[in-house]
Amino acid sequence: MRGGDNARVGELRGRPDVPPEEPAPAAPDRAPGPPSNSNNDARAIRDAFRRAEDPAFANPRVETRYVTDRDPDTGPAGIHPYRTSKDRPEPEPEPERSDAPTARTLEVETPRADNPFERASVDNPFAGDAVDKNKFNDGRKRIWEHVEDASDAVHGMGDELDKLLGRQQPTGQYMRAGPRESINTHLSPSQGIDGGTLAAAMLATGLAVGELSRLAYRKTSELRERRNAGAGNR
Amino acid sequence: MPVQVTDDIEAAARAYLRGDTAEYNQRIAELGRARETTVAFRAMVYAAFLLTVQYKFSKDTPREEIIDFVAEIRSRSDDLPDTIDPTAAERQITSVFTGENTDDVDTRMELTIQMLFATAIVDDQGIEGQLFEQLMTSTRKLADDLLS
Repeated sequence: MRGGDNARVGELRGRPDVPPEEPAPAAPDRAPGPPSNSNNDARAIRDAFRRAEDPAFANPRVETRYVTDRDPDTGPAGIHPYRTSKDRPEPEPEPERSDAPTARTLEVETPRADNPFERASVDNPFAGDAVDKNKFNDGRKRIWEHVEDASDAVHGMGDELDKLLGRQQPTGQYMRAGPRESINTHLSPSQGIDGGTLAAAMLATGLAVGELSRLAYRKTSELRERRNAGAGNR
Repeated sequence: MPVQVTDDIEAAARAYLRGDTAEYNQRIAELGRARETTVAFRAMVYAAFLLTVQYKFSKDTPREEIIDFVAEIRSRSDDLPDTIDPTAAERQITSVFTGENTDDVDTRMELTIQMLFATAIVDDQGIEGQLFEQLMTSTRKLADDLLS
């Protein structure tokens, strides 16, 4: 509000002797904008500039940490924002990285050209001369280990092949005990859904029963269709 | 004398990859249990597993797809869920691309997984005729490399 305006208000209120106020000097560093005569507005703008310049206000969420009773430096539990970046503790140096290869680094560093099927010729998609080096070396060592067990396994593999190829009569033993029974109540073994697979997959993968149920049902349906189609072709 | 893959050993590998159980049983019985023979046959099994897995899957295959595949194989028979450890099978497959060491898997389980899954992939992917011959050529070559 300007001084002249105050004089007019005084006249209207029957106080014509009210001296007019000196016009307030314009703030030299005030940002251009719509005129305001509110001290609160000016304070709010100054606060906003101050916040923008103060790193402690730049991103208070980042500066917040949670302190528990177990923290010997800070005492009781609560949330304490660091005031400035100076209060921030020095980050602990990262442990030196070992040069020993790991599965993850190998995954990243192994070029895709090592996949023999990507560099294979059109004539032979099995140009298997570029298997993953580590896997190849593991296999080279592995084939000489536990040879007797390996011999027993390969000599008894015919029965397992028959199981795989559907040449074995169903035994009806879909479930054994424990978690499998609970799944069996939701699935019908008479429809050929393998609850054993489902239970083992649930335990192994941690996937939800619903997801695995859908997977098992879809897969069993596909399998049944394939078997029916195969029987029709014979 | 270095161990090598012989024609008889390759014939046994052909039989199981084709799912010819009777032929396989006969061939594997004729091969006997000599250490060198077992090692050479195992090299063929290992090589066939690597090549067929790489034929069906890639490094970018989502893990869900491998879980799906293992579950489907195990669901083909009432007894296969007890025969195939799903975690070991998934690890064996993914390790082809990651190089992960899977030596902790039991020898019998390892061979069961490698033989059954290679056979399943040959069957599912329709690898037959000339394509099957190419698989056998590459398998034997890789097996010889493993034995060298």
